[in-house]
Amino acid sequence: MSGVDWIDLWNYVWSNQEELIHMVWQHLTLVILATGVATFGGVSLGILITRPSFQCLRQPVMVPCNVGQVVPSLAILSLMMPLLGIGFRPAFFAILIYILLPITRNTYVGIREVDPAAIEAARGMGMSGWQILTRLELPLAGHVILAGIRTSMVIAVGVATLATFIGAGGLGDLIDMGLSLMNPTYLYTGAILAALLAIGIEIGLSRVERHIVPKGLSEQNRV
Amino acid sequence: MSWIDFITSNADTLLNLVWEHLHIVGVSLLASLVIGITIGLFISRHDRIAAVVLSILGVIMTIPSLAMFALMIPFLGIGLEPAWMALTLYALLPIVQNTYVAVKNVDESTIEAGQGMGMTDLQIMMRVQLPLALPVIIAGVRTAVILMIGIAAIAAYIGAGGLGEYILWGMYQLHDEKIIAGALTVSILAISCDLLMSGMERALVPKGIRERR
Amino acid sequence: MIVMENVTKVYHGNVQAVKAVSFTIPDGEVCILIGPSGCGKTTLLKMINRLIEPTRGRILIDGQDISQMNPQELRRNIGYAIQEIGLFPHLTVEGNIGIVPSLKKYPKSRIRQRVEELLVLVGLDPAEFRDKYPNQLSGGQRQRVGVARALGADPPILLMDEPFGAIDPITRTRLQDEFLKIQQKLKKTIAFVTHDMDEALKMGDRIALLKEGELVQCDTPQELLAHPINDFVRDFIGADSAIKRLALISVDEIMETGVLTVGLKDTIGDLGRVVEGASQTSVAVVDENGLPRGWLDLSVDRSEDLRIADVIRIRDTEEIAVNGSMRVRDALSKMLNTGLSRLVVIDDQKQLKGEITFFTCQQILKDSKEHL
Repeated sequence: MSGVDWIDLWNYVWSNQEELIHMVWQHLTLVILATGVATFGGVSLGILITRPSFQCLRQPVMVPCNVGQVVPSLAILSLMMPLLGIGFRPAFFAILIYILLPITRNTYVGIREVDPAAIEAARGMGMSGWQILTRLELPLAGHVILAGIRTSMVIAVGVATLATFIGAGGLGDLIDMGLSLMNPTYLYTGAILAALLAIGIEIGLSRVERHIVPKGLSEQNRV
Repeated sequence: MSWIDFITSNADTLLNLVWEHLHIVGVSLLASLVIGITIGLFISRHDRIAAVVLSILGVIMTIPSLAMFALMIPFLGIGLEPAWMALTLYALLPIVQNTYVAVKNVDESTIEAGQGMGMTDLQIMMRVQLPLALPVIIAGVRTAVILMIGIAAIAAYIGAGGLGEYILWGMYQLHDEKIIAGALTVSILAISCDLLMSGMERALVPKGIRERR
Repeated sequence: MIVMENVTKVYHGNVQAVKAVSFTIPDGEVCILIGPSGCGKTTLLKMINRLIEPTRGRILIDGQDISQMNPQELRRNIGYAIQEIGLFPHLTVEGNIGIVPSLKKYPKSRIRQRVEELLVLVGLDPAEFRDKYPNQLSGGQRQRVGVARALGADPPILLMDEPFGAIDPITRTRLQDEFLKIQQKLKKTIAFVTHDMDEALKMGDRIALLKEGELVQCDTPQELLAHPINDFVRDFIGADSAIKRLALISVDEIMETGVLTVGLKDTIGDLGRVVEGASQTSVAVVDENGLPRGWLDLSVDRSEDLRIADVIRIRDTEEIAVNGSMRVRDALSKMLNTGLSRLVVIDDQKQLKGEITFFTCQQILKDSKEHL
């Protein structure tokens, strides 16, 4: 394949804006929907297993969480095909399953790292379980949970590029087209857009994260 | 179940693919270890450079793997070379980061004690800092290996071979057994490497600092 | 008033952490729960605010069985301070102290005012500390905030679990002294867990000594030292019970008053007027501000007309004086450290009000020995 002709690439992007926006949108829809559902599920699950009365669920949830992070994303995506066929649905579920784990894990770890003495003091002062969760545990674990969501979203962008293999569209289509037609313009447009999307999400969310670290926890604050 | 039959009757091919897979990962691992540990040790002495290096590696890490392969094709073509290159790049972050953190976290007073006994900088690094940092570095290597096994599967797409070949062919041909065989084998490969490495990690922790429970 | 009736806690069906303990903490008193580790003192404390539920027996607060109360409501009316403090790291000092008042839905302005009062009470400047975060405070300051937080909604009862346990000895002594002062003002009903007998004797109006879940003896500190009911109690108090007794008595209680004084600027000739008809062998010397600066031996040759300042060794007041509120034990150790056989006693304005001698301390030690 010949090198990249940047003028060609620019012309292509300029004249195909609408189509590209549509592809980015398709990609983002997959990422956002999966992350949204995974956040809801993962945070709830993470909270659930930190409740003393559901301690018995901790192992059954955390062990698959740890093992699941080791399984290659392509393996999970491909296994959706025999189960759910091709298209948006299997891609969505593959991403959902894959990123549910880090979100659950971070929620669990974030809450577990809250000082037990603070929780005991809270109980001793007469705070209800709900008050302890919303006033103490979640504010303190919030940035850890968001870090999990950020990692998950970046992973989701990556897995969504692979979704082209099971016909779910997105920017992977462009890369695939570029490779099969040996066209560096398509190849690069797809790759650069996908990379920018991931980097943008990473940078944007880490900004938010830094913002929500409770003041009393930040190091610069220490005397 | 039909896929079990499929696996048993294609065991030889699968085993070959496993070797191919490990080969891709092995070469990249070697490269990333040499480069990563060197960079890690270097930046542990230069804090300003450290922040820059780590954030660049962090950005590389976020690039979707398919996009990374695509970006390399115009320069390196298809096949093993772009796969090695991409895998090495991805593995750098965990290895560099863990080396850096591990060396940084060695207690100041331990180093001072070494200096007090008349050790040279090199001796301090080889005899004090590295042994104490080793478990953390190995943990970074473990993360890197797992990451590479996963990404190597995608490298089949640019003709690097390995277990990804089976998965991708299976998806093109709508051949469920092939998909399952490939996906299961690569998952088992990743999980067993993870277990192996975590065992190694535990064994390498110096006896004196093992957690007593 | 807190009444324990046959309170028993059994874990896992057979481990008895607390065995049929009964005693009463009268209003406004500090009751110390003490004993070796594993004696059940913390379990007992946590049953008072229902962090742990008793297996058998009941606990009454002002005649009301607490098992019939809503536990959260109950806890909001009982202050709780623990060794690990457990400040909320994401809240400022103000946020931490205001937690219980805000749980009780006090209006904002009242919470603010309350926080200010409490900070002043525990000796922290509100302007400086109100907006700080826990990680900006020293250990002693955190513990002060912890105590202030326990007092947040002005609960009549306080539970304290080794609140000064993790603090360096000097700060601990200071916090104990300050806490006693606060308690004199507030008159809370307090259950206080410790494993340190010196702290118990110092802080307690009453000490409940526990062993393996059983209440061994519950008495005032004086009674406990004078009449330990068995060898366990005697061992737990330690061999130096006589000296510990000195820690229960303040210098004020045993000092000799009516000490004669002369001024530094006076002359020997002035002495005659002061000591006329007195039996003392020495007089205290004070400077122009009334601060004690030394002693003058009356066997001095009175024929020469020297200034007193020229014939005595002038010392710093700090060196030769103790405050009347100080414990006799501390005064004794000061004598031993300085090699002086007596010290002058001063008030908060550093004005002389009496004298304490080694001989008096010795007499008390002797008396207490006869008790034992």
